[in-house]
Parts: sequence; C-alpha cells; structure tokens
Amino acid sequence: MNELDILDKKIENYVHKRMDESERMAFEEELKTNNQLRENIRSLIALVELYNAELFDLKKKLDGTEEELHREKFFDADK
Amino acid sequence: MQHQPQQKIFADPLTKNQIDYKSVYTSCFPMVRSMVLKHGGTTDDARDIFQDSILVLFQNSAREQFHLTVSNCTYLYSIARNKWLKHVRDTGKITSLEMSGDHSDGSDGYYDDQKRERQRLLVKHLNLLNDRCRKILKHFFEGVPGEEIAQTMDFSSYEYYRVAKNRCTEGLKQSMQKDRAFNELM
Repeated sequence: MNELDILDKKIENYVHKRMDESERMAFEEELKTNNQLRENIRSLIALVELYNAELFDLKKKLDGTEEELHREKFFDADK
Repeated sequence: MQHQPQQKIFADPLTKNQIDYKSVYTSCFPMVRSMVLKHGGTTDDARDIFQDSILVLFQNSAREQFHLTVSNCTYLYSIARNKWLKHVRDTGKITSLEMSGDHSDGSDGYYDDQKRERQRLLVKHLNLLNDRCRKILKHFFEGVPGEEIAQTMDFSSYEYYRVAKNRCTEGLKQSMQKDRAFNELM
C-alpha cells in the first residue's frame, strides 16, 4: 500500500467509526491542519449518514416494476 | 379503481419484501396521473412523483408513531398531491390545483422532513451512476472494508479500488449538486 492508500484506509475507518479513541484523536489533530481533507471527510460522513440500504433496495425494485409496466405499455394507457 | 386493503403496504416490515409493487402501481397510479395531467404535468412527472411517494410511505411506515388511517391509495395520492403542489409552486406554474378548495399548505409537513428527502435524493442520484460505481458506493456506505470491496469486485490492487471509489464519490456529489431540489435542502 502506498501513502494515499493508507490515508484512504484511515479515512474509511474514521468515517465508519472504526478507530479507537487514541487513533481518532490523533487523526482529528491531523485534520486541523488540512482544510481540504477535513471538508472531504465532512461530505463523506454526510453521505454515509444519509444512505439508507432499505430505501436503496426499494428504489431498485420500483425501477424494475416500472420497467416491466413500461414494457406492457401500462404508462401509455389513457393518455 | 381498486384500493389496496388498508395497511397492506409496508404494514409489516417482515413482509415488505413480498409486496406486489405492480399491483400498487396498477391500483393507485391512475389517480395520481390523472391529478398531475390535470394540473399541467406529464405522465413522466406522475411517475416520478408516484415513485417518490411510495418511498415517502416506506419511510413513514418505519416510524413508530406511524398509523395508517386511510387506504394506501388515498395516502399515496395525498403525498403525491402535496408534492405536485409544492413543485408547481416552486417552478412558478400556477394551476387550478391551488384553487381547488383543498386546504393543504403545499408542504410535505407530516409526510416528510428534510433529512428523509435528502435520503431519497441520495438514492435517486446513486441510481443514476453506472452499475460498478453504484456497487462500490453501496458497499462503502454500508461499511464494508475497502480491502474486501477491492477483492470481491476484482480490483487488481487497493490503489485501483481507491481511485475508482473516489471518482464514483465525486460523480455522486456532482450529480447531487446539480439537483435543484438537493441544493434547496442544504
């Protein structure tokens, strides 16, 4: 692994709260001097917190249902 | 129009995988389309609004205090109608919907809140990405370790996985930032 890979693993562990207390505090110190990385992590955390696996699966099911109905010309009826 | 029996949709989280979504569409979509067409929209608008309304219903059903007191079709129609009214107001289209005697305030209010709307927007934009990006980000968001994702998705090294994941994340962020609805929520 190169340095960027190692940093990526750190980000991943931080975002998913897989760091122990001392690791987390050390990483947060690092972040204080790197605005871009801090902002990047902030937006990643926002995405992870918004992600809802069940909603994602349901959306896929609904898209599949719509495709099936589209093939059956259901949406063309009564235009 | 056939109404779904009360509490059939999402009433029991254990059976939600067995829901016949096709019957939900065939039973409930026509009345939503009729409302949207009557008030300046298209069938595609109605499809978007209807699908989003099912997602709202799903999210609401997960809340402990949620009790469905009207038929599922009526409930879906009510969500869809509020969404469409909000849309026509936001886009400056004035239609007779606002003068129809319904006293809805046009917001999603009870049906919705900003976080849940952002969740649906994330899912929508995630689905606009290519299949590989979608899989990478799904695993990442679910907390699967990067090395495991790299391995199961046949990346030749962690570096290739990292670069691909970062591109996918950027693609997702850009797609969401272009969405007017998302920016309104930020």
